[in-house]
Amino acid sequence: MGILQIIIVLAVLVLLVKPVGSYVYHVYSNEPNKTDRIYGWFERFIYMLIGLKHRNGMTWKKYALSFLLTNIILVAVGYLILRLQKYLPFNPSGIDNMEETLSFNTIVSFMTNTNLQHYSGESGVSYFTQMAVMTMMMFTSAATGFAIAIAFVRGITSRGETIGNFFEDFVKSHTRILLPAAVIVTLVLVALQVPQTLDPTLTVTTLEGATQSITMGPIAALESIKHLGTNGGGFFGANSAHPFENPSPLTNVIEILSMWVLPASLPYVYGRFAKNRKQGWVVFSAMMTLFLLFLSLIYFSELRGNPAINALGVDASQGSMEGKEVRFGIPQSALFSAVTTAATTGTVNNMHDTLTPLGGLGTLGEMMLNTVFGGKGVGLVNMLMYAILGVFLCGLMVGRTPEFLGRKIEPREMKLIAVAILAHPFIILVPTAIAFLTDLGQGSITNPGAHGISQVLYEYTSSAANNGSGFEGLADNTPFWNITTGLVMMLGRYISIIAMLAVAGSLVRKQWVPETVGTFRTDNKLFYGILIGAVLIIGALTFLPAIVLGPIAEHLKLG
Amino acid sequence: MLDLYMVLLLAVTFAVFYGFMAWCDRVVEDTGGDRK
Repeated sequence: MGILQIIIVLAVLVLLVKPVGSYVYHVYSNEPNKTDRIYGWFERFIYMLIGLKHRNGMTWKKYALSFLLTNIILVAVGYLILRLQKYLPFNPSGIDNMEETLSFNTIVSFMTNTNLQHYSGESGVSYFTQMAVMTMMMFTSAATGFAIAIAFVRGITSRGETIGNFFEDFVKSHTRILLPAAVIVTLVLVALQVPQTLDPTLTVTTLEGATQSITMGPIAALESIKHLGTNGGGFFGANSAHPFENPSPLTNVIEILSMWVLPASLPYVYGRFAKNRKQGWVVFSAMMTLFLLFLSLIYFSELRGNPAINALGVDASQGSMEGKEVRFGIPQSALFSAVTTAATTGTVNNMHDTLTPLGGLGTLGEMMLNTVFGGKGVGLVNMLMYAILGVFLCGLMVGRTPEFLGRKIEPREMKLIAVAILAHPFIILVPTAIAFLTDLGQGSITNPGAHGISQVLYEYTSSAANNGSGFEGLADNTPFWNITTGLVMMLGRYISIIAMLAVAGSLVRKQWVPETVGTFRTDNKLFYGILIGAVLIIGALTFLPAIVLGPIAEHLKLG
Repeated sequence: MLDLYMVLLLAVTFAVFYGFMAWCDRVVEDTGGDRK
């Protein structure tokens, strides 16, 4: 029955990939289509407001600069709101201004699509902040990721000097994808009992006669974009484990699909742009294969239960239910954990700190690879980065100049790809080592031994992958953790995006190389295997020593 | 005062990204290989 639940959700996802992918392709292909009539007038109004008279294509550098400047302005406005929220409207609970280093961490976190929350939603931010900073940035960070992915795909599949117009892509991501989808999902969630109100906190009398404060607010609106934008920052500290955010197994499935369907449809979009849909399906199949490997690891580890608890005579028939919601059980908890770390959303419906060691390894592994569907847009870019690397390695083996989609892959592209690939483990492992070496880092570890290593490793991996979930036993709301994870989030977001836009800018100008019988094909089963191999060999081996010290050592100690 | 440090940290980090962008541009424009 548990596996059947998972299979049904997987089947629905696969059925949605093609129609959603086709829609997304038409949004960005700039070919006239039916959606122009619905959204065109609204977009023209926005272009007029922002003074965008000519939507000319941009070189990669102008595109990257536009993206960077937009982010800087959003960060500045958001930081100000966090520091002044006490004086701003919609603050019925009188919540104070956010502390400086926490404001730095929070604004970086939401701008980079991470949503690593070192504060608790119900007590740390006002309604105005929830709407004007958190919800707004959930749209803008997701739209940015979409724009980057499409620009990269244009760069590797088209010819010319330009890779699109950032502002046009950014606006279209909002008007044609995120806003309409968020309205639909919000209304569905409201119909399924998720609250949406501006009323202040409720004070009620419990059955025992005590008084209790129940936080309410505009939850459904935040909940929809939280998942659609692979953001993950919850209205409540307990995130999607809270019954107001995720009241039933049905809302759980809706939340899983809403965070998964857009990243999963992007490989199909890539296939449409490449005018060879098999290219897209090869990438999708590689992502799905890796996902099923990690899902199996999490599901069966949790189903087996915790041997230490089982030895105490506790009924283990339900699996390891520590930290999980009874209404979801093992199947919907394991699937949620696998999807939230694959799509790097970071929303949680169970506490990852209480996953079994191998279950925790499954969630860690997906974030370390950062290519198993991945976050909004950037997951596809990361996977295509490995695809180019795979082609390059095969070219070296057969002594032939590597080509990808009809372009020669030269040292300049490989230099940029090497930087992007190596940056990820570097910004995870170096800060992890620093945290272990300093009192400031060690002081927050609440579990001695192997699990303490996992806690720190998870925090920086989640930050670097722009995921945002955590092993919440780590006492991370301190200046040390706020600043170091803030910097890791920024490096994890911007280094790979800038490097990959540069690759797109380099490839878009190259002449096409005609396909011959000797051309290495990238749309068949052989390349599917090579792609998975490249991800596992390069990505997984880099982290092997660290995960041996953390989750694997913990698993072996459990017996 | 801490606000100033945080804003400075953000400014320096974004400046580093701009520098990285310039380095990427140099790599892309590198004439070591042909443009074919």
